[in-house]
Amino acid sequence: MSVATACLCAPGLAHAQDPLTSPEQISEDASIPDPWQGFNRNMYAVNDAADHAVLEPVARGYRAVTPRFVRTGVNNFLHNLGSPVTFVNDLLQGQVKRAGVTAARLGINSTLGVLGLLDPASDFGFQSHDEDFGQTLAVWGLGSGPYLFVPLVGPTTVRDGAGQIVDLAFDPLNWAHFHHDNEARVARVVVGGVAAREQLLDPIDSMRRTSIDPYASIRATYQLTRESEIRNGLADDEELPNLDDISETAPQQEHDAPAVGTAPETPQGANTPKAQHQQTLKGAKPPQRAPTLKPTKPT
Amino acid sequence: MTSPKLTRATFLAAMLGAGVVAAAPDAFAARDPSVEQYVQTNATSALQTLGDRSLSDAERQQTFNALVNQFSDIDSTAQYVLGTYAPQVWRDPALKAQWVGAFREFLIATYEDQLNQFSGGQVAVTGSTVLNSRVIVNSRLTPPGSRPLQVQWKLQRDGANWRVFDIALQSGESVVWLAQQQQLVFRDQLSRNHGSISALIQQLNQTTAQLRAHARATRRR
Repeated sequence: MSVATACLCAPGLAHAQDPLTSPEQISEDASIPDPWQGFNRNMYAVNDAADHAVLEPVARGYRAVTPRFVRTGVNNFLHNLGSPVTFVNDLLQGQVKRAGVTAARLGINSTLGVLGLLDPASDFGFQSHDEDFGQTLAVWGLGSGPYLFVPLVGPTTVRDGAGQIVDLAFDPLNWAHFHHDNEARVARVVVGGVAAREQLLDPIDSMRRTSIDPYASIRATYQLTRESEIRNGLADDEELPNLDDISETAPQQEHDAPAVGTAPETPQGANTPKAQHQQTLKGAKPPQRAPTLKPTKPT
Repeated sequence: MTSPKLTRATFLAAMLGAGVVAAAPDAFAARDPSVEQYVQTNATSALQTLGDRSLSDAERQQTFNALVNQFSDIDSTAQYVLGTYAPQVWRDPALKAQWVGAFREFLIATYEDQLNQFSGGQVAVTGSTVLNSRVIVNSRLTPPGSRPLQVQWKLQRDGANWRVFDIALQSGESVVWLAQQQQLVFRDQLSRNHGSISALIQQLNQTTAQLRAHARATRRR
């Protein structure tokens, strides 16, 4: 995966020099930076073609031939296998209580849950959550870095992609030696990919119908989902769309709109979810994620 | 030397023990039962309308449109999703009317598309949180024969009435507010087309027409 990521990053870095797609022209302060958008859109097209040709039909076939309880069991099993990675990242983020929940889930589901096929831990009040090293880096204050779309992997950022590589080392299955260990690892990746795509069948169908630009919709969804995951789902009122806090600063004409470099300057990392969350905890107002305007209420 | 079996048992016991200290009750948050009831009633009506086979296409469309117009603060959402581009649109009454009209149709068609998968299903309001002038209502939408989906409704006062400003879909711990998502997409489009609201309106109209065609085709099946 590291080689693939490096190969994908190289042309992306080269493309970043293209003035037509420079970050100043296509990015705004509140959006995830996408300086390699031209390259990413090409990768998205490659992924879309592969998805239509192979991934989606396989996922539909999997849905057609398996009853729901089997798919739920597979998802539970795969999720349980990922618990050690979540546990380590819980601890790295200083979330001891959540690490306890992860540990309890792993213990309960691996035993009472028949090797993780069932999820009795949720019934005991230990609700599922996911952590990864990308989130840990964000909690430590590292910004997302540029957006990347990687075929067969999907949307990510430089930070989150690097985090995925580190997570490989946290996963006991990747360094444990047992009979047919390589086959087991390959099977896990393949089954995990099919199961993940099956879960996304309806959301992606819907997104393809309702979006004016599926590439931008996936990027926006990825950004907002990651921000929410990094906050562990906690969103205080100040981080929600708020018409009362909107500034009046706005472009005068269509061509001056969203202007490059007109965003208020903030210290590096100040707009990271971690920084916002910390400021919120301290009682300070977090930077506005999406500057908009003061509304005139409809009459 | 400890046997591998004992080590695993000890490890699992430790995992179980660690979890015991992790469970603690969540903090209490203020609720608003009247707004919860408002969402329950209107969301149920929307699902019933979409699933009502006794209505013609035109009747279903008309009833659903009226319901969404009454239930949603579409003007505010139309303004919010433009982000920093909104003032230029709001300064031009003709352009504003054109934008709000196009967005209204797009939003209704999108709601219809999204809610169609739940038609015949159940909506159950599970609680709410009062946040100053707004209320966030939590609900569980269960499509027929499928897993429930957690949906949050953000309402704000419009005169004497509460109206929905944004809807969030919850997956695991993550929550994505749709108006925020839409703003990111629209702003990206506008930055790519030199801020042309007219071009964005044209795109919205095309997508709305495709959604309507898809809805008609789905109902005929």
